[in-house]
This record gives sequence, C-alpha cells and structure tokens, in this order.
Amino acid sequence: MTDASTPLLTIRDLRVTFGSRPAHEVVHGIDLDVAGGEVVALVGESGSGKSVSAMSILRLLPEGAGVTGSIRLDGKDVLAMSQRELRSMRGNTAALISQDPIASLNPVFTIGFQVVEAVRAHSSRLSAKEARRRAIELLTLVEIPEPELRMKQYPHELSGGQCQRVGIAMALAADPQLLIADEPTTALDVTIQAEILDVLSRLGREQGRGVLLITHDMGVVADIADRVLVMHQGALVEHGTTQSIFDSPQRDYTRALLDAVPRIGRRGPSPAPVSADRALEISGLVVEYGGRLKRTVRAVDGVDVHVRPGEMRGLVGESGSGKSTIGRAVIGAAPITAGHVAVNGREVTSATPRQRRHARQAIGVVFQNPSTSLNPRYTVAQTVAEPLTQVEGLRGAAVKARVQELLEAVRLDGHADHYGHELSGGQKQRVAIARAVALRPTLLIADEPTSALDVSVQAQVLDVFRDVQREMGFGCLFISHDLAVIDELCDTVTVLHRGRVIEEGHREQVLTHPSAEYTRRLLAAAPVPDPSVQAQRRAQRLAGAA
Amino acid sequence: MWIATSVLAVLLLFALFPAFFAGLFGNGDPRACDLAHSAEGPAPGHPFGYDLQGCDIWANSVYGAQSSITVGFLATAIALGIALTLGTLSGLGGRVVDWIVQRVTEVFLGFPFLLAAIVVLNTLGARNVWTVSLVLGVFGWPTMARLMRASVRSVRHSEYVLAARTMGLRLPRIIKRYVLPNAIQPVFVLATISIGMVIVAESTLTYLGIGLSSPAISWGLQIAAGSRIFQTAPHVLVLPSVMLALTVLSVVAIGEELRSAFDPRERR
Repeated sequence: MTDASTPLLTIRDLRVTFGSRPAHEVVHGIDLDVAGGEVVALVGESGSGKSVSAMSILRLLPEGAGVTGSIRLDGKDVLAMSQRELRSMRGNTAALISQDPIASLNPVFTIGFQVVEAVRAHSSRLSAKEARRRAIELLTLVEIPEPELRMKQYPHELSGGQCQRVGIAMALAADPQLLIADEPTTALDVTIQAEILDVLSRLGREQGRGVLLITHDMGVVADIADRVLVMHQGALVEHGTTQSIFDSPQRDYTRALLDAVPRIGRRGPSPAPVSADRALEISGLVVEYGGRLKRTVRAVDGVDVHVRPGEMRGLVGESGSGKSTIGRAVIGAAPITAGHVAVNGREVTSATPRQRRHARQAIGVVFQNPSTSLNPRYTVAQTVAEPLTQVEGLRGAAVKARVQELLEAVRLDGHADHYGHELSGGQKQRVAIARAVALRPTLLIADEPTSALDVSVQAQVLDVFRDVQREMGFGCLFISHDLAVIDELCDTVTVLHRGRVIEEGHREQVLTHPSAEYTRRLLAAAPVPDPSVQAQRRAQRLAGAA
Repeated sequence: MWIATSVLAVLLLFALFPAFFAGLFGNGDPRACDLAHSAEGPAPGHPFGYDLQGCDIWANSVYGAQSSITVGFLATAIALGIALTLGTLSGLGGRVVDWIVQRVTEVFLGFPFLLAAIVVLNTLGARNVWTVSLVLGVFGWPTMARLMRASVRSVRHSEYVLAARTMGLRLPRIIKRYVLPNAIQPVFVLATISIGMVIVAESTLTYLGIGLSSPAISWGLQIAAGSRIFQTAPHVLVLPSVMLALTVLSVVAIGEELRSAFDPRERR
C-alpha cells in the first residue's frame, strides 16, 4: 500500500532530548514513513514518546528540546528550516488535529470567524467573501450539518464531536498533504468517535492525504490504520501492516498491549446474583440542575437502579446520559429533585446530617481522575489511614496493620511513604481503591475509575478491583462508558441514555443479545481490536449512510 | 537562600540587641545629637554620617530596625489572620455568609487607605508601634481575603475534598487537613510580599506625619526626614533605604523558599 517512490514524510533515526547536563533522551532513534493516501498509526502508552515524535515533525516541541536525525517532509528538510519557512510549512504542508476539540477553539469568537481566519492565514489574497465561501466548503467537507448556521455559533453551543469537526476543517484550511492527528477521538463518545474516524479515513484514503494518527486505542487503530508502528519507552518496538500486527504480533510487548485491550464476550458466562436484599435501591430518581433564572436541566429523569449485596452493577452510557450524576446523587453531591435513594434499606434523602454522615461510612467511592482525588499533602499511608483513624477511631499499631493489609490487597506494599505525585496513574488509582474500601463498605461507587489510564494499566487496576471485591463482597455501582470494561467486570448492566434507563439486565443478555436499538448502536460503535471486523462494520455503516 | 536568611538574621539581631550593634563604631546612642554636625558626611566614628539633627545615622538605622520590622510582621500577621478567617468563611460558607463577607471586603477594599489611616490614627491619639500596626493590619487584609476565598473555592470543589466528605469525615477535619493546607499557599506568598509593603506603608504614613513620630525611631521616619533634604545631603537617605530594601528582598526570598519547602510536590 505504501507509495514506495516518494513518501510524503520520511523520518530517519529521530532522536529527541530534553534538558541539558545531562540531556535526557526520550526518543531513541525511530524511522517512520507516511505516503500520500495512507493512514499510519503510531501506538504506545503515555510516556512512550509518540506525541513528542509527532510534534517534532512540526518542530512544535517545548523549549530546551533537542532534535537530531532527519525529517524530510515533501522533499524538504524540516530540521534545517528557518522560523519563516517553518511557519509556512505548518498548516500548508502538514497540519495538526489536537486531542481536546473544545479547548483548542477560542471561546470568544464564532466558528465562522475562526475558520475564516485559518483560511486567510495561508492565502491572504482571498477576499472576505471568498474566504467565507471556502470556510463553508471546508465545513461541508467534514460533514457538519447546516454549515451556514454553524458559522454564526460559538464553540460552547456545539457538541464535542462538532467541535472536533471544526478543528479538522481548520486543519484542512490550506489543503495540507499531511494530517497529524494526536488522539483525535479520545475525548469523544464512541458513536461520535466512529463518525470522526470515518471523516479522517476518507480525507486520507480518498483524497490522497497522508494521515499520521497517534493513539493508545487499539480499537481505533484496527478501524482506520493501514500500517502500525508500536512505540515503547521512546523506541520503535514493532511495525507492519495493521492486519499482520493484529494477526501475528512478533514482540511480547505488542502482544501484551493487544491482550490488555478489553473485549466484549471474552469472559465466559457468570452466575446471576440472587438475593432479595438491596445494598442500593434507587427508585424514580430525578435530578435537576439550574433553576431560578436559568432554565432547569433534567440530568436524570426517573431512573430505577438497584444493587444487591455482592453484585457488580455496570452503569453505562455516553456523556450526558446522567450516569455520573446518579453516582453523585447517592453520595449527596448532587441534588435529588424527586425519588428515593436507599443504602442498605435506609433512606439517604430524609436523614439528619448526623445520620447522613453515618450512611456515608457504608459507601466507598472511587473517582475518575486519581490525580485529583488524593490529597496532595498526604502520603499513601496517611491517605489510607485517614478513614481508619478519623471515622473508625483506630489508633497506633492497629492502624498500621490495617493500612499494610489494605496496601497488600491493592498490591502497593512498599509505597506507604510516597506522595501522590511520586506514583503513576495506575498506582494512584489503587491507593484510591484502598482508601475507598478501608471501612469495609457495603456499597462501592466507582465513577469511570479506569478511563484516565492506559490500557495495560487499566487491565491491572481492573484485576485489583475484581480481587478486592471478591474478598470483601461489597455491592458495586460501576459507572463507565466502556462496554468492554463493563463486560469484563460486572454481573448486571443498566444502559442509560439522556437520563433514562434504556435497558437493564444480566450482563450476557444485554451485551450479546441487546433488545433495545440504542444498546445495539452503542455496541456497534465500540471499536474492536480486530481489523477485519472493523472493515466489515465500516462497509455496513457507509452502505447504510449512502 | 542562605544569603537571604543571614541578612534577615542580622536585621533581626539589630532589632533584638540594638545597643550592641549601634555601638560598633563607638557612637551608639541614637539620641546623642549635635546640631553642629547637621547633615554632615561620614566622619571617624560616624561611618554613615549625621542626619539633619546631627544624630548618628548608623545608630538610628540600627534602632529603627526594631520598630520597622515589628510593624512589618505584626501588621501582616493581623491582616493574615483576618484574611484567613474571612476568606475561609466566605469560601466554604453558604450563599448568605459569602454575600455578607464579600460586601464587607469590598467596603474595606474601596475605602481610601490613606484617608482611613489618617482618620483612625488621629482619633487614636497615641501613635506607637502597636497602633500603627493595628491600623495597617486592619486595612490591609481585603486583597488577601479575596485571594483566600478564590483559592478555597477551587480546592473545595476538588475531588479529594469530595472524597473526604464521602468518607464521613467531620467538617473541622476537612477544613484543617484538606482545604486549608492546599488553599493557603498563594495567600502565604502574598503575605510575605506584604511584609515589605507594610514597612513601606509605615514610612509613607510617617512621611505624611501620621505614622510614628519623634522621639520614636524608625526607617520610615529616617527616610521621611532624609527625603526633605535629599538634594543637599543625599547620604542621609542611603542607609535606611538600603536596610528597608534588604529586609523586603530577604523576606520575599525566604517566603518563596518556605512555600516550596512545604509543598510535597516539590520535595525531592
């Protein structure tokens, strides 16, 4: 598939260093080619050097970075370019599509203004009218519905997916031959992700542009990449066509990376929990935000969910489905407009503050982002000991023994005296789990506990989670947008959409034989790390759209 | 760092044992003045010369350290205390408490500082180190309080505070261990800078004739007196100004160092 004669981008022995005396090398000599009309994926975990490598193509590295080797883009040596040449190269020859579509648009200007500005930045000869026409053309190219109307809107009025389309349109303004997409769909829901990937793949394959896709998501790779390069700790581990990498990975690292990706249906059948008791009973829950002067927004609209003791209940939905709000309502961090929430048979809404505090002790919580959910001024041991000393009233040696026991349970013994910033994301999340189960809660609420982590780390955290749950037997409300993760971990599943329950039932039944149309759509959009399955799905989707 | 510490240590020693240091050059009494030498330059035994009254400048500057440094620290401590209390109250309290504290803060912020100081100091009558510090402290807190409020607000909504609440911890514990230590940093930095500003403000008040007054001795008084005869005898201004600048610089440097020392994220 590679155009062997003149690749668009040729990188040889690229080395990137940071700092001086001693310089710290983060990329250790990688080779990479991208030809027109092909999508090349650069895959790796965070810290593997994949973004740094891609940014060095545009020479957009932070100050103090040293780049050696050779980068030839469209026949020109990027490393020898002057500031002026670089400016004209960026956008004209190669353009960047960033990870966070909303943050990368300026919130105080309209979409139209920003796209027009991108157009005129590269061809200042265009009149205002022509630039506007070109802007609308670009928005149409990335399949934004009603582009004329969008031109007048501000970024906050658009959804994340629409903003990413605008970002792509702006990157296309000067018709660059190379698109560098840095995790372009990580911040988006799966159904939106599929659409954005369609756009990218079409821009690449059909219009002859080269696309360099940086991602950690093997499902995305399987979906649109022609060739794959796997990076690990700054070095190229393996490269090949997508099919060959997925079918017969040569290196252990690649194999481990692929194995870590959760897949629906990999886990065998599991027994359905049977018990009349309820660790958590939510009925008719309504949560409304806003009010007074603003329009009220109904985030949760009459939801019934229950968790039996020892049951792992998955709560799945896209952003805006109200899944996190339900979790927050249980711990009293969201207003309950109507309905009932009972933990262990005791109503949380009608309790006195004192009773509420007691009720909270029966609930453990694990948050999405472990970097912000740990007190930065506590060591690991202090964090885990906090509920023991403050709520249970343990002292001295008893605390030490319990902390040691808990840290062993999450496989973190030996890290007791470290501060949060000294730990990796996965380790921090395990500290959070240890803290959450310290009081032996009967109910654990986990709000997207692994979505901020790399896949290989995610697998490890899920293992710990499963072990701890099996040992302590708490009921768990596991909130996630990732169906595969839910499938690996949970017993029962509730699917949410726009604040309402769409489907509810046993894991195998919901995830393999869904009865609701929405669940089917969600399952079809979730990328699977298998190129042939993805190709089949894409063909179906495009046939359906035509 | 150690330069700043030693400079501040020396100045503190001046403040604690003025008699010893003032006497280093043989003329230790700041009040032993001889009008015959009015505003004369350096002479043996008087390395920095005489001021307008014919007093030894070195002795005066050493004695001045006491009141200037006391005013600086005391006024800042008063302001910091008020700011932390009100800022935390406003940041954590409900809508009503926040509204009241905010309006009070704005009133103080909108008050012309000098006018207020003139009125209060004239009413108080006695103008010594304590009253001047009190006035400077009581009118110096609003900026710090606003910063504290903003800082508490951002920490209050962080997930670790939510995590602490879901653990069932009591409110005082949450404030003491989770909110304050993480919110206090920027306020602390502002406070160290404000020590310098207060010392300068004290000299401004003195210059206007409403701060400390003779026979009290302070850098502010010296600078005020010196500035009136700056064109004929510039040397009168030099020593107290240098001491003031050194104090401010070393306090700011030490404050910055303390901040990073107390932050576990910057510990190695």
